[in-house]
Amino acid sequence: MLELIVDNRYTLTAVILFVVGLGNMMLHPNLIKKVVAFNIMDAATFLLLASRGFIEGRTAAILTDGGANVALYVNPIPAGLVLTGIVVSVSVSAFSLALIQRIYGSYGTIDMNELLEIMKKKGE
Amino acid sequence: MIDKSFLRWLDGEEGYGLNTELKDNKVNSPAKKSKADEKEQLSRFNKIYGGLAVAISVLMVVILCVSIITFPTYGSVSNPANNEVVERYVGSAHDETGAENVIAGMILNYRGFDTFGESCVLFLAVCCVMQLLWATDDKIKAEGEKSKREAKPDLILSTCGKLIVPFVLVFGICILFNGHISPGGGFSGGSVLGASVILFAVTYGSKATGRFFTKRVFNIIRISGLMIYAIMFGVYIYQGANGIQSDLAHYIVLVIDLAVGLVVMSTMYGFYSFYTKGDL
Amino acid sequence: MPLSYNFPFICIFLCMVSAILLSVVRGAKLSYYVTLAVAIACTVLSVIFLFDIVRDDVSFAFTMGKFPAPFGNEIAGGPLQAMMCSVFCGVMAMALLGGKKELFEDVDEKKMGLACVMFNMVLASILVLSYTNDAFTSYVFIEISTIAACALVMIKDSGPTLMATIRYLFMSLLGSGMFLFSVILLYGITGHLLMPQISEKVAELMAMGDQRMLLALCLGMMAASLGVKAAMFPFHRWLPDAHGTATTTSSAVLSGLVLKGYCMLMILFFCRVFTLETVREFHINDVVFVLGLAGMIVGSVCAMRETHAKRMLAYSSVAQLGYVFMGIGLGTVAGIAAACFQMLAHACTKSLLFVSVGRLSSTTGHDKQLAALRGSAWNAPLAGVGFAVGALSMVGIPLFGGFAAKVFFASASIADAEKIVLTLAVLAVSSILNALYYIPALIGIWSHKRPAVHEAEWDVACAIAITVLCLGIFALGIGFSPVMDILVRGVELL
Repeated sequence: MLELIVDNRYTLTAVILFVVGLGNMMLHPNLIKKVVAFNIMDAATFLLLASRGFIEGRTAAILTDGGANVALYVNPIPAGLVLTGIVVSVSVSAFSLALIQRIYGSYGTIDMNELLEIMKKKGE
Repeated sequence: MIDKSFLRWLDGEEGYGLNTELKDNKVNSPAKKSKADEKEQLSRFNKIYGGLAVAISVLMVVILCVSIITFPTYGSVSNPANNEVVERYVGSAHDETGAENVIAGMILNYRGFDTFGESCVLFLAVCCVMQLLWATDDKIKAEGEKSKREAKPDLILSTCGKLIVPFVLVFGICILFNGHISPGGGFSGGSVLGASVILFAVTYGSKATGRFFTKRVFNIIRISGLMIYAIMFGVYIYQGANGIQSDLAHYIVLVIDLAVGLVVMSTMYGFYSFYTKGDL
Repeated sequence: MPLSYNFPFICIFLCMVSAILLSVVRGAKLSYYVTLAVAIACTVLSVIFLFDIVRDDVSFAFTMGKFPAPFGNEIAGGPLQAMMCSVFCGVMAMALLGGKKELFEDVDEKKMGLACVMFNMVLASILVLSYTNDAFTSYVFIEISTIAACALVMIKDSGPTLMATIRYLFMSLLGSGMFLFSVILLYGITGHLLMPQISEKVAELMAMGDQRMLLALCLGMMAASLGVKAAMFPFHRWLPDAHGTATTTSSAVLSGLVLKGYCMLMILFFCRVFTLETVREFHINDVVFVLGLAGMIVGSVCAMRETHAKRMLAYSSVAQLGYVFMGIGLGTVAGIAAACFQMLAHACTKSLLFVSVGRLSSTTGHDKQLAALRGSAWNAPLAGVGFAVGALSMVGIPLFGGFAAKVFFASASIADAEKIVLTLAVLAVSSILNALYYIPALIGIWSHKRPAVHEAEWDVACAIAITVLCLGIFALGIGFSPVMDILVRGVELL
């Protein structure tokens, strides 16, 4: 059992981080913290993905011999996917932060509960 | 489209803010009591919702941990992920795409459509930020003054900035141009370049940046980068799917890497600029 | 390969390239007309493609580049995708036409180009989500769809729409995060990202009995994440705000199209990646079925309590999406084909209703409370007729598209002895509930004539949109059998 846990340490960490992000995203009333939580969630996914690519005793997939010996390099696919994922999460964070800036500008608060109360009072 | 009461409320004339709410609660008139009830209801809802969310999270951790323990072992060669696809990528990337950096070859050629989508995500994010923060009318400007403050260049920052900027710039260009043969590429090179432009703006003030990085330049770089990508890759897909022979594949990686780098650089600076002053 | 087989790819690139170019176009009118032209061009290309593929009766893979699966990206086309995309593109064009006036009023003139970027990107993402053959491509385009759809809500730049946008955005992010997680789990146990290869590996694993728990987890997370994004019952709270506060065209596009893209992706994953047998074995389809039924009831009940016309329509979308999930949950080819038919009918009907309400409210000074809309149909008769057609189709009167969908659901449920009673009972109850809020609204808008607050001048674009969408509903309601044949064949070929 312990051996299994040690073998899968990255996977398990990724899972726990993922749920931490998910839970915080649902629970936190502060909009900025929601964005942070979303980033934790994404980082956990990237950790899971990156841990898929690693192979014991091999190096990064920058070919030094023109690809003659395939057994020298790790799996390049997860690295590419992580790159895509990072760019997506940066874009989404930028968008949501801009949105929060505007919301702060027009309502003066970034607390979800207070915002909902204000909305309710205005009858919208 | 905004009604007048909303504007009045924005100006703080009408009591919609939280402070007035607290005052209301102190006065215990019967009309306000229902409001207090409502608030209690809301907080009870929040408690139930919070409890539920915690329960779901704990349940998810347990389910995920239990099932993920049978996941293929970390670092082992016999993972299902290490299959013929990896062998093909590592073994033939150099011949088929001309890239020694297999990852660059993979994301820009084999899986180039994904990467095109990804560049479009960046492009969309800039469009959204522009939509939100581009101060075309007085309303957004007025709101902006509440929340935006441009950093004034102080002595330490500007001295260090002057020293560092050229090196960062050269480093970015180096990463960008060597993306296909060494670690790096369009995304990393572009973001370093973008960082150098931002640093320049912080050091010398955004007026100095405005002299060469105008809105026009911003648009041209952004659009031309993406269009190069779209047209080149569109032609490549058309040829590939219809079995037309060509050696477009050999230089597609380098050109698209440069295009992506330009897009990323302008995007990064665009974010900074729209956040700080709502315009370029 | 025939030339028309390139059309899906050309449609996708047409939308994306025009989106890129439109971001710098200054003229509001120009960018609007370019967007409209692109949507119409995509409709024409998709219809030609549909005729060709139905004639050839095949499903084919189109390599996006020089390298075939499993090395490069691919999209796959078949009768199902062609049928759905033709209608989606057409509805997009009609939504743009129908909401034209309000769009120009609600959006800042300088930012019109940016708004048009979003419309183009939404169309591109829906096309890709329908045609995709690659799990990771679908994730990237889910994100594009998320950002563009949120931007469509916020283009009517006001306080409530900003709030609606942020709630929509966070809910969607939760969904796409979970989707990415499940795609990666799937990649970890199968080692592939292309759908046909994943499917082979999954079949192997199922035959050996390995990794069953992880497979079930992937399937469940995927269904849940797409459910969050498509407003499946317990996750539907964000929808009425987002769809109710946006401008007319955005509401029509969001309700009519964006939700359907996620449903299509769910069908693709269920049919092509996991196969229906696996889904049935893990009972995920039963969960989807029950949630769909719950959504049908809850959506209708919430809609009955609404006094705001657009929010009522938004809640009605929750109910109608419940039908789609019920069809998917039946877990048979007939059930999924019926769900697809319902998507087509709902895309036409809901955009017609939103366009009509937008037009009606222009006579009352943009007051969209149902009380304010009383008698407004006499001031804009065509919109009143449009609302009537839409409402009757939703209720399920014969000759209208909604009726045919309900018949197909009922006949699809016959094969399943356990679900038939529930399906028929809930179908009947939800039809009655639909009638309970649509018929009063219909009578309300056609009641005593009241003088218009704003005299509405004749709006050609809106008239065309309403006419075409009405014809579409009648076409689906009367000529349902050829459409259904194509859909059934398409689902079989997936």
